[in-house]
Amino acid sequence: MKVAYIIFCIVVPVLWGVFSAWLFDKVSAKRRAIQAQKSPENDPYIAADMYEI
Amino acid sequence: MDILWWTALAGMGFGVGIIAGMFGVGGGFLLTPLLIIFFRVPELLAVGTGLCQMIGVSVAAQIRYLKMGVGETKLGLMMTVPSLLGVGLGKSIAVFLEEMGRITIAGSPISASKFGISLCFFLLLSGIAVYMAIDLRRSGASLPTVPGLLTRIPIPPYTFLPRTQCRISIPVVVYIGLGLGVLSGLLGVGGGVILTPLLIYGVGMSVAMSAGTGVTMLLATSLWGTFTYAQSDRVSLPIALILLAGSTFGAQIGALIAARFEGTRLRGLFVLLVALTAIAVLIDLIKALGL
Repeated sequence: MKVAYIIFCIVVPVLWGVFSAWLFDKVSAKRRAIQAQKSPENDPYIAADMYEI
Repeated sequence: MDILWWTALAGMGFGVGIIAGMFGVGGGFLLTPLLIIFFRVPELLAVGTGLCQMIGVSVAAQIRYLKMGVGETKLGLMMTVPSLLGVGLGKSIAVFLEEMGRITIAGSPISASKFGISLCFFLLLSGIAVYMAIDLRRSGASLPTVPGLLTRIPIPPYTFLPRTQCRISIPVVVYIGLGLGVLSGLLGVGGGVILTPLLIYGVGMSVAMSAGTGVTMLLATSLWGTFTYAQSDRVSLPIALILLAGSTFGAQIGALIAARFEGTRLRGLFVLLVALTAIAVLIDLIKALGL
């Protein structure tokens, strides 16, 4: 039972991460379109490509 | 724990996700203390659950950085091994604090784990807020393009970083990995919020390069940390999943917001949020001490 619990604690968030990456791909196309209209800014904290790190 | 509690939890995950998406951080350094303060989750359970939530965040980031092909792979892997040792050390410290039971601080009895973990969070959050406030003042300056201070530490042996075109002391890399691992094991945070500026200003990497370098280590520490905490039943999968669901959707919105608004103003807001969380941690600690 405990082994199953540990496996679930690891496998389920991994699968969610894969889903999250897929979702990000979908949204990032829209984000790039917005960024293309905005002047580029050299900002280490507003680099949307590195979000969730 | 009723439906309102779970809804509030999802809301917090969503809110932290927006912040994470806006500022390029994982948000673990906000989630864990907020779980302890506002949701009264026991300290070690909050840490273990934070690490479990971080798995999802790190996997998503790892997939994206693999596609982008950025990062110093060798440096990332060299930090990963000591970080795993650090996770074990951090968890041992957390368990040791818990086993100490109640201690007396300024004449008031308080749980040692509550005191130790809250104090560490307060120091971490205030350090981040102060660092970023200072960094905001030089926001007009461009990012460093030359090798930074970390690459000039003369402790052999060295390793060469092909993409950054500089060499760095291996013992320094090991200690950075170990330190970040301890933070993960003790506090359940990813450490990206520390590692990223460290690689940008300390090594001279670009933003994407630094994030791509750290992501492998973050994934490894979150996996190992979750494994060790789950062994002692210190992971709540339902809480982790609710947070993950909220933060995933929040992060998409945060990334869109970041694309619309001016950077310096957003960073100012971030400093304010981190400072407010540090104050909340301090107030919670003072209340627990009955001062």
